[in-house]
Amino acid sequence: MDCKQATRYIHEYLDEEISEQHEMQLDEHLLHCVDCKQRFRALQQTVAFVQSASHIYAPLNFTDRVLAALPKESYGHIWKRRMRRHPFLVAASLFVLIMTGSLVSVWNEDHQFQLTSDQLNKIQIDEVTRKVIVPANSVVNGDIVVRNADIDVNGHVHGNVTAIDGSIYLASTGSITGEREEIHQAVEWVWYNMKRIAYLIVP
Amino acid sequence: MNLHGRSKRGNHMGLIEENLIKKVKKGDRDAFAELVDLYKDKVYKVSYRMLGNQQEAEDVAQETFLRVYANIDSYDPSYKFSTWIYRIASNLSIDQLRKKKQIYSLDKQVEGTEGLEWHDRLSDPGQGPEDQLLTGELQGQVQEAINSLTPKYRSIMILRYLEDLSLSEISEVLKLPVSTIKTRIHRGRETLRKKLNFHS
Repeated sequence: MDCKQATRYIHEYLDEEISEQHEMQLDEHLLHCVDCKQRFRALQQTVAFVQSASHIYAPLNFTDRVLAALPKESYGHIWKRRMRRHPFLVAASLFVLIMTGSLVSVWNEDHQFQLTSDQLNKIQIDEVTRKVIVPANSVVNGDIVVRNADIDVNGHVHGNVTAIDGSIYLASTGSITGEREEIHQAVEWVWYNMKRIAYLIVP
Repeated sequence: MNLHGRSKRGNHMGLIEENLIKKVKKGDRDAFAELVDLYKDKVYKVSYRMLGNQQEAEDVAQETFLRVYANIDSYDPSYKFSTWIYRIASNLSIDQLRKKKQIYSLDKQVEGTEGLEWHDRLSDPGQGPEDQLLTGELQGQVQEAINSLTPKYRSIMILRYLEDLSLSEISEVLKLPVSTIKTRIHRGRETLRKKLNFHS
């Protein structure tokens, strides 16, 4: 084996990839070749020397400085980050939003104006002001039920006047012989519907 | 390909990293700080040995982590994180070395040289007196020897003998075939031997 090949084997050895056969051959060569032996030792020492210098540590505050150098979070990102951290809060908020939204639309559907009476021909409706008007000098025989509007009683009602989510205004010229009743269902209605929706979700 | 990703050392390390990285991908900066702590010494070691002085090493090391943060979305978790970060660190270091070379080189032939040795016409801004004090005589000698290598060879010797990576790991970091890595290690060893001038 010549020295060139021996050198190759030396490097194989240092790579920790030398086969048994090659190692034996190398050993034999090194026994009688002073140059190669010297080279082998020198290479081993080189490796060891370089490896010994591996104690290098990052400066103190390095991490802090890296963090400080990060791009400032845009407001949108900060918001996104918060949302990611609190998924339940986000879900709950969405739930409340949707619930409220649906409540509002149901409210609007349910709360259309209604007027119930046997004698509608005697009663006026002012859609602009959302008022029901019993004109002065008119006489209504029977009950009047008004929903989601006010009623001005300027005339005479021989019966009960009921206003649901509205007010009854009795003029001096008017009269009501029966009961007058204002029912404010709004609060009760909201509570009722909340329960209704809750039972739909959690049967 | 995934087999190369597994290291003999620290599979436990892999799990900690995995969790941290998942959080970082979601923008968790605290998790990122932990990741920096885990890797700062390794990264700094590479950049310091590549560049030979503390100031540049810090800049490059910091830039490495900033790149990690900026590109965390494109990091593929099926590969080792260390491979990726070593790659960024060595590439940035090599870029920095080449930048300096372009500015100061008096010999145009030296640019883009395939050669092994780094003939510094300019005095290496490296090893200032402070650096010697900090790192000690031993480190200074080793650094000098490493400085004599061109960037390509320097990075390989650093990864092999200072970071203790296997040949296949180095091959993954530098995206070069193992045979090329081997050849360069052999040549690198010979050059260092000559430079350090050991006699038995």
